[in-house]
Amino acid sequence: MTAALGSAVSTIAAVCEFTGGKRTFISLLFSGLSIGSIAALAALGFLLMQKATGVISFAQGDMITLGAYIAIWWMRDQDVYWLLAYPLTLVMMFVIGIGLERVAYAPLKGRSIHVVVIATLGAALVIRAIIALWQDTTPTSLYSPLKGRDPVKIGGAAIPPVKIAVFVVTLIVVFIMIMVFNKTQFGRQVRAIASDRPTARLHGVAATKMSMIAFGLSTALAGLAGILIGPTQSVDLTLGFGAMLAGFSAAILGGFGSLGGVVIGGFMIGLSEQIVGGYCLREYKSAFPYILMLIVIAVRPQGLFSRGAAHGRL
Amino acid sequence: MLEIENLVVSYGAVEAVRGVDLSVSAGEVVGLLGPNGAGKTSTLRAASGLVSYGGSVRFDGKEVSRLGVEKAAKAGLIHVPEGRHIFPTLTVHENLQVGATARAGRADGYSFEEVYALFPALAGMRDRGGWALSGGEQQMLAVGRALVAAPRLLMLDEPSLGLAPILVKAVFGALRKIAERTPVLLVEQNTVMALKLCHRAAVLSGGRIVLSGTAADLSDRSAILDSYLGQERVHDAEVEHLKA
Amino acid sequence: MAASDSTTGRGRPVGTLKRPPVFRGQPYSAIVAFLVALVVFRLVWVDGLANEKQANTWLLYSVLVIGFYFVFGVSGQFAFSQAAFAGLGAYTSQWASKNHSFWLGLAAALASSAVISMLFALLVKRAAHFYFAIATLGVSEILILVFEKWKSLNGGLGGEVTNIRDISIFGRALDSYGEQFAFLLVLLGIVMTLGAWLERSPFVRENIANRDHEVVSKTLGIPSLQLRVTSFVLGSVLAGLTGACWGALNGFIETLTWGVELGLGVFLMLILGGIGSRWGAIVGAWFYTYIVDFLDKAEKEFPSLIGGRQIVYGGVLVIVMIALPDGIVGIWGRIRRPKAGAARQASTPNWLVTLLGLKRASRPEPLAAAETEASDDTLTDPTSAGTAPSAPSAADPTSARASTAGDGPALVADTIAVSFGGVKAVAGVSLTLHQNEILGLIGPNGSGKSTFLNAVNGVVPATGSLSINGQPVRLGNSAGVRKAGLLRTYQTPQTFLHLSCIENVLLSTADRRYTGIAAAWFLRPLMLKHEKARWARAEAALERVGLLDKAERSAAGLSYGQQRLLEVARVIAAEPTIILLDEPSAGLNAAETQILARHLRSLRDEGISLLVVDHKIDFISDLCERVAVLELGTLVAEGDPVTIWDDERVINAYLGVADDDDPVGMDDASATVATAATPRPASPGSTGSEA
Repeated sequence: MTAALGSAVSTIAAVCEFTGGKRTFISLLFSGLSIGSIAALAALGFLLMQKATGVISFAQGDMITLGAYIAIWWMRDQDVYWLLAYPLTLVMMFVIGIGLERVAYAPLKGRSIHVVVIATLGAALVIRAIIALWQDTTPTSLYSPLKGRDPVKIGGAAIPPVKIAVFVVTLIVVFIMIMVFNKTQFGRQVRAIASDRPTARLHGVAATKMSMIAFGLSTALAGLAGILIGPTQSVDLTLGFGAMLAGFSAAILGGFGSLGGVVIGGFMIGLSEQIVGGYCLREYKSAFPYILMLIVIAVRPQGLFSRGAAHGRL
Repeated sequence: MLEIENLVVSYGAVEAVRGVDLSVSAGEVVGLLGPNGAGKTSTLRAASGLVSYGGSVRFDGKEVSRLGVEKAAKAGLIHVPEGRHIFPTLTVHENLQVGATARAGRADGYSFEEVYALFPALAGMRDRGGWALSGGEQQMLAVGRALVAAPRLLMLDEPSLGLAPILVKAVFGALRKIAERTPVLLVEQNTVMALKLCHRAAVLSGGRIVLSGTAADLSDRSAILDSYLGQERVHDAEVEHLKA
Repeated sequence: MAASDSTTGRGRPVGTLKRPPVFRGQPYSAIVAFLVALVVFRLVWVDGLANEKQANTWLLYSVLVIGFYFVFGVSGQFAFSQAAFAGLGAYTSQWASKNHSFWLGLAAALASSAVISMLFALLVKRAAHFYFAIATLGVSEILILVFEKWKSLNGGLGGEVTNIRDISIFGRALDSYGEQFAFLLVLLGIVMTLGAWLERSPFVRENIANRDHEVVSKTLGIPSLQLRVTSFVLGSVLAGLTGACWGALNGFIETLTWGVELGLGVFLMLILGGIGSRWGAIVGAWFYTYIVDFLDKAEKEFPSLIGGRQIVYGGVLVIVMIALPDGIVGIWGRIRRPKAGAARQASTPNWLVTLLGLKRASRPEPLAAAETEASDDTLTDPTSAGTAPSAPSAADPTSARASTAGDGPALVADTIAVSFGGVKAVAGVSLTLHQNEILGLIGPNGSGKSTFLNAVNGVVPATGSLSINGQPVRLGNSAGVRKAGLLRTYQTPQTFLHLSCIENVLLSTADRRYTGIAAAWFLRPLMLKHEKARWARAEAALERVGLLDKAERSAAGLSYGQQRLLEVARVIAAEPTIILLDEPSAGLNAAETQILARHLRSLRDEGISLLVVDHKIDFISDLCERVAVLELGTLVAEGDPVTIWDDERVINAYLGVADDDDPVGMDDASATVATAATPRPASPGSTGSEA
């Protein structure tokens, strides 16, 4: 037993380097939180859609990319001030989401969810191609009013304000979504549709309208994620795909059920990558979120934070 | 108010309803009785537009299939499905709030407080999740959820399903009060209770109406029992009767 | 189909059916003909280095997608990991062959892809559908990162490995495209043959059953997890094989090749070509190989078209899903449909079509629809429900019973309870089924009859205890229940629509020896010997229910009543000692019901014990020696079918009891529950319900 413990400790010592002190830790912590926020934002989009329609959209990643590119288009090409460009982007994304509902969901109504999922896969490829045709494939960058500002000093570590913004905005959005879901008639109707579609219709909940709104909102959320992620890295066609994968992982950790659980799942993803990966096996740090996800699927497939097993499964 | 003419419902090759005529007028309480698999539930599902059908179902003169499920509900045709179908992820009160969606501005419906007064058991558990309710509580909530929509016709599918007698009694007690205000189409297998509530009733067997009349006409248990047990028993009974 | 049509109605004598349709035809000559055609194609049409290379790529993709056919097409697993496992094969192979031969590298590739895919499949064994899909995306990302970062594996150049050793045969390196084509031709031939052998073995049909309805498969004794993992590993090993050859043939690998784009491409190839056959994989691979080339050329001519490739992929995917769910091979199959014994997919819409609801399956309602049974827990007292299991005294007035009574009861279910959420559907039911008995179980809607069967069968979580033929069996262990000799039928017939009738029956046969993948490849004579015995048994069972002339038809083509009979045949072929039947008469007309009763009686005469749940009272009274009545999840009465209808509690259970302005009736209502354990009812008339 002690021998095993000793060998475990020496293995950890061999692959981990605990250096840099408090400052490094704080800066890793904030990197983790901002990456986790991105995962959570990506997850919130498809979670909303999944709740209202049962569909998990593989197009969500490319919608994030599209959101970033639309914002670039407004600000760089049309020279619109950011305060106006952001809402314009979100509105456009909302409309595009309704379009996606009309093209890839409504015509397939009555068919299994699987066909819709494969259709969203096709839609993802089409969206990516349209972006490539429209904005070509060379990496570019997205302006942010916070870009180039002086880093914020927290506990001695210099944190770029863009990262803090991602974190703060995510918290605000999550708070708003939790309120909307739990306290408004719209939220209740979405949850009713998600849990029992025919019965919700029997009580007058307009299923078609709800699914259009849900697609619109979730696509707008993808746009918001794009606006927030864009400035933290270079923007190219693969921008959203990684975020979507992280979002899937976050949703699996959270159990595809509660919004709060998914956000915590997102933070766990980000922190496992930045903090664990920051000290141990640094080269492989981007694998940690997936390893964490696989462990959760193996041990607790209903997610870490879902109450009843019955509600967590897809 | 509700007119069903020559209704046919089939699932694949199986015909569940084979030409049913039925109507409910304002102020009436009508029962639809019969054994398992007789086509009662299918009739209701057609009436609320959930399944496609042959023949015609008109609510206030409008064809239900053309209205669609949601619009029919908003017009006041409220269907409480078999097995209650409470939204498990919503609390008791939220279930009621969703139920109010179909109210569409009608003023004469029940308020939340009236529902809680009608079913005091629910009042103490407003914030309990739908998944945690017992069968009886679920049934009360399902009825309450329909009432807050200000139904102009309430269609109930087997409200006594799987409930212990004392709860059946409670549910029917509430239904009696409800029926004073709202017309009801009641699908039931508990014939005794149903006939006490209804003004008139029809008995379905094998997708057809085999017996209909006022509740008093139908109160002879043996006739209904025969329709449950099938023709052979009727013959047996007749033979025994003759022997006697 | 034409062949079986011609015999319809005549009733084929047993033994004339030599083998099920999938075991017929000429797969080997088809494979040889295809390979010859490939040689001709290569010699006549392909010239120029670029085209030669492309032809090789096509063959490589074909192997990769045939692997995916087993994962997704046969086993129904939504996996995006095929490309990553090919990468795994490529990297381990180049590593292991650095100082040795290609063949050592190949062995390492096969071993690594087998081990890692098996570990992965076992790790995520509880993940269903999208969870599994997302998990495969995750494992792909991890693998690709490892290829990129692990220096001792990739030589430290960030995943780019050059100068990979050529394939060599007896010291002769295959360094021309022509030689490589020949090598790939042989490889594809081997893979096709191995695939054909699997198709002609129990392996594929059991996978299909498991894919289409896992729960039902389990209750038939099919090892569900084992099949799923085996198929996934098989596909991943074929991917590893492809990767190893890829590296050796191109002499160069990079991580980019094995990314999600190829993962989606594999998906696209299979769906496009046709998900229902190995040929679809080859056709899809052809299309993908050549359209990539076409788009590359178009992009060179018109630079503004960069990215147009994905539009084409995406568009093709959506269009194929909607318009051509059987893929390109499906079109061919549609033209050739009349031929009997053609490939599986020709006769039925493929499983994806049914799954996606593109064409309506003929089955009216899924199993889950029957699960609405529920009862209330507030009044029922589980302990009061125990009708003594040993009360057969009044049970068997009929003399038909054989003299096996001394063997002890066939089935003893003791205080079985099931609850869903806050609702107790079965509240402590104890029931004994004697040897050679037909016991009826009746009760109103929602009284818990089906749930009780599901609990005994191990498909819903339940408490209590169970013993079958004197052997205790753990509740929830459906495989154990089947092993003990208990089989069942379902409220809506659960047949496998993508299998022929005889294959449906073959699924349940008790002899499960030599059904695995190893037997299909290495012990074919033994496998076939046992298969022949199984065929004979299945044929006999089909003959017995009168479906022999439909043996080769797809189960999807049967009427509702025939599907029920097919289910009965499947149960008979399993050589059960106990059969549970859930509403066997539902959907049958009077004549069909009588035929059913006759079948059930003759089964009883052969020593099988039956528990029949039904709501046709005539049928039950006619058939059963003893009837138990369930209400609100508890037993309220047990007795012979003639006297049980004199029991007021039974009539009350069916017609309901009087309400509050009838105090006597109300008393009786509570008595319904409270007196359940007493053997005789209160005297008739005491309810005064019509007062």
